[in-house]
Amino acid sequence: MEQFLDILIGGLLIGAIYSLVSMGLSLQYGVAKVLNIAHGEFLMFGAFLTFWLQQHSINPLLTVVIVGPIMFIVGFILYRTVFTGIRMKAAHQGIFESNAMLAAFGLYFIVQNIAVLIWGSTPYSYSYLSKSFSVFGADFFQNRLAAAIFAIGIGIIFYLFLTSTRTGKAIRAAAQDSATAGLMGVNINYVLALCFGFGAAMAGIAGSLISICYPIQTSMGLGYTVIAIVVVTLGGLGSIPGSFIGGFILGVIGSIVSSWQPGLTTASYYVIFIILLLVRPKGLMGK
Amino acid sequence: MVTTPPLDPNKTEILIGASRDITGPQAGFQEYGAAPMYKMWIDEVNAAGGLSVGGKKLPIRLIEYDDASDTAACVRNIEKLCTQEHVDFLFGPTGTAMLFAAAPIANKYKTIMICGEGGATTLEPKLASMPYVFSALNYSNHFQIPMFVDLCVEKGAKTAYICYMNDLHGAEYNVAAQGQFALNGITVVEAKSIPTTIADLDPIVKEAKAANVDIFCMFAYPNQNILLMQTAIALDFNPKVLLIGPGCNFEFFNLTFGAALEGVVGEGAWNSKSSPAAAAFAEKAMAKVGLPNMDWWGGIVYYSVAEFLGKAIEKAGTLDSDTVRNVMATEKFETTLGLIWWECADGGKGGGLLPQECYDGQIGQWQSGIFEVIDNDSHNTAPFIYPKPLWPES
Amino acid sequence: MDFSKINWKQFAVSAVIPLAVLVFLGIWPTVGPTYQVTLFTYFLLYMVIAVSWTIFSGTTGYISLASAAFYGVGIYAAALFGEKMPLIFVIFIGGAASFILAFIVGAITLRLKGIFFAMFTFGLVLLMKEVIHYLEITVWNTRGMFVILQSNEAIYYYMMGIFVVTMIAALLIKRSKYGLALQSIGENEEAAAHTGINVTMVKILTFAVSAIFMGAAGVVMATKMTYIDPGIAFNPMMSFSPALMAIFGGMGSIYGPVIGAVLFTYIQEELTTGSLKSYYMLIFGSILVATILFLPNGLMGLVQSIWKRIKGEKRAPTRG
Repeated sequence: MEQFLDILIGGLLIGAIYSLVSMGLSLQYGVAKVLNIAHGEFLMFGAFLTFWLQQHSINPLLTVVIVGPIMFIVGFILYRTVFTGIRMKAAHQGIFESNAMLAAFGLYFIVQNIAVLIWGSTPYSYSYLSKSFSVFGADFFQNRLAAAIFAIGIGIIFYLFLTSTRTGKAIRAAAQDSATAGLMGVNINYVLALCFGFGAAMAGIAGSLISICYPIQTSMGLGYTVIAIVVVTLGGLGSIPGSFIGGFILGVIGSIVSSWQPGLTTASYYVIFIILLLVRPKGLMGK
Repeated sequence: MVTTPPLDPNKTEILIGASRDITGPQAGFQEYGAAPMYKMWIDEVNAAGGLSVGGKKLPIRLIEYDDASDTAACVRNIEKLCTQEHVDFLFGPTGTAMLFAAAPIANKYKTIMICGEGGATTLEPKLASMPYVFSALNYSNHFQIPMFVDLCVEKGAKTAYICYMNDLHGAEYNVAAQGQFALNGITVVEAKSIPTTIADLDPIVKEAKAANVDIFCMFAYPNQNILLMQTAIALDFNPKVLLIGPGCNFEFFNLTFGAALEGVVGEGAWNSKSSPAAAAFAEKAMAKVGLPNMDWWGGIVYYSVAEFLGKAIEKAGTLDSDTVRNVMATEKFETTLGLIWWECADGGKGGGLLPQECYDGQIGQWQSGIFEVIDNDSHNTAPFIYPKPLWPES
Repeated sequence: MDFSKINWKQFAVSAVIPLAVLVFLGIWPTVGPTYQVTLFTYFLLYMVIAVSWTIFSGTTGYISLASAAFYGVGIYAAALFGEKMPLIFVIFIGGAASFILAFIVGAITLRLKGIFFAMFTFGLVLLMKEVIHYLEITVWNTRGMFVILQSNEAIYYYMMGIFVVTMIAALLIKRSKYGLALQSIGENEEAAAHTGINVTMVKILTFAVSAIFMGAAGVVMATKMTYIDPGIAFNPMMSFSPALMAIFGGMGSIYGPVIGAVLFTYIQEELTTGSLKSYYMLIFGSILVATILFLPNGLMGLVQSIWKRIKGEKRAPTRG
């Protein structure tokens, strides 16, 4: 029982953070059609911003209200300056997708180099709620619980935003069929830039929450990008509930494998990823 | 007897090449690894006008390339340094796997390479065929793990749990530790590998705690080691001996954990108490790299082998690789570490390793903010605290 | 053949220039400085990888990120068989192993369209790296492998041989009916299937054939690296590089990836070993973004449109 809880709750707590990490990519890729290889770099930037603010005695959980908007602006501007141009010049969607991915690859280089110039490459960490709490004899970190609650909360708020506001509906329309949405009077470039901005903001916030739980380093990004790609594929592109389901599944599977052979945890992610692509490439919640 | 080739009269400087991780995941070692120690030595030599080689003062110029932590790029860089820049000597790259790739290339071009950060267990059998490779650092079976296991046996520890990184570094330490524990009657309850990417250490710590082991060994990089500390503290896992490395040997580890680090054991080791020369060196190095980047494992070793190289060049009176190599293989020189010399494989004809006497220590333990040497020989600066004190109440 | 129809200008471009380049490459190790020979070996390596990537991905539009897997298989072939037999045999083994792997991957990923194919191939590289790492360290108890060194000249000429074969194969495929089939798959796969093309077989075979050259190149380069482990053999950069090089050079013509590979390698070399090395990733990334933003058809696309403008054609085509 105790071991079962260990695996299940431990997996769900990590899964919640994975969900938030991948929600951003799900928007960027599912709606804006940019497979953002630099996603993890935005996350890393968010983590370092939080670390820096924390050093100036700001509660790390509160930093999300600062990190989120900053990263949103960065993402929005990036889409307007880089990706809109690529989109306009691309003859069809396929060319845009591959060119956008390669441009994102360039961004990955740029962002990481800037971060190394500012923060170097030493690992950093700080202590916040790093005590454990007990559920029927199984122990867990308090900070992971706090991060998971925040991640789920932000996910729900965003889901409500997408389903019940005008802008949210425009984004969903663009996700389904951007050409038609454009004809219906949606300013498509603006909406896609919004999506990219929201994606960057979520990456940044996920970074803030990760910095509470794990040590951070300027080279940490790519690992999270890969996780996000796996989760998004698992859950289905552009689907917020899909990101949650994918994140929780990956978290629990990771937890099971690492309690047996931790060396195979990462490999197990890729196995799930590859099998899923073969069996159901649209993901569990994909349409 | 072969005569020493005279120094090329057109030579106005000594060129030392290095392929380093200036960018990429391992870039941190440019800040707290060997690079700043080598640079400090070069600056000092140049401030004094250079090395006297054959009656001429020659300053040193370091040519540093970036390999972006990519081994293939490192190999190419070393080749370029040897064949295009015609460097006279090489400083090694960062990381065990990287060293293994670089050493044969340096040897191929008959350029002396001083290896810094990295172990060499797997390289040892190859050293006989690599006369130009000199590996400076102490590592797993090169005295650290045997010393560590001796210490644990003396205190009566019976069981151990090993967690190691899924890469060459982790693998070497795991194999060395398993072997030594088995030889000395300590049972290894479990040895688990973890991936180099994001890892959740809860299951490992919980399993080790449930097994109630005396010794817990963590052979991983600073990032995972910090996470292990956090996890062990939060889950109140208090083994009698906690060995963490590398990372534990850096001052930033102490600055991060403070009092919680009391009694934690790391690989290394040296400190200001090792010798008056070490005390002076610590002060000098701290001014150069800053307190957080102080390295209580390799710092003094990297600097001393650079000094050794300088003295060997001066003694040889030439920059000719073979002549300098022979001096390095046969002579002893006074350095910050004291009198040091290389033990070369294949009866002196192969590559070299520093013998145990040369180091200031093998195993360190944090005690009141100092990384004390706890070896059971004359290097000892403080007694081994066993068992490790419980985590402080925060 | 009707000689009167030969377009001599085109003949010069398609025969004389390649021949001159070939002669130059052939005598280069005897005249070039030592390191330049090594640098050219890397040019040849990346040209082989970029061209063979373009053979499949450039024409069909399926972005493959599996190059590192095929290259890595070659590297491991060299480590496993290098001591037991002459290099030339090992090259064949490496090529064959990559062919088989690519054939299997191609066969099971048929259903995957567009970016899903890219993600699958990338996942494959990461999975191979993780699994081999785990097996080496935990199960086989090996820790990396050493590969027997070859002389710089030998490596160069082997690489050049592979390059020539790759170019010939690429040109033959492009000019054949087979190439036409690939082209139509790239334009509209369903339409291509309706015209009677065995879309499945054409795709799988091309993918597998293009992998041969990557595997062969891996075998040769392993002898230069001497020590290998999964991190070295299955480096994800090897998957991205050919795509970046091909797009940088332009995929409209076979010379695009060639030029892209050379320039890319050269820029990288200059940045990492020059005085700007702390800014290497920053500059490199900016060049990438700028190329994609301003030269969507790559350098060859730019050259072609300038050429057309010089010749006075009214409108430069937007796509090569």
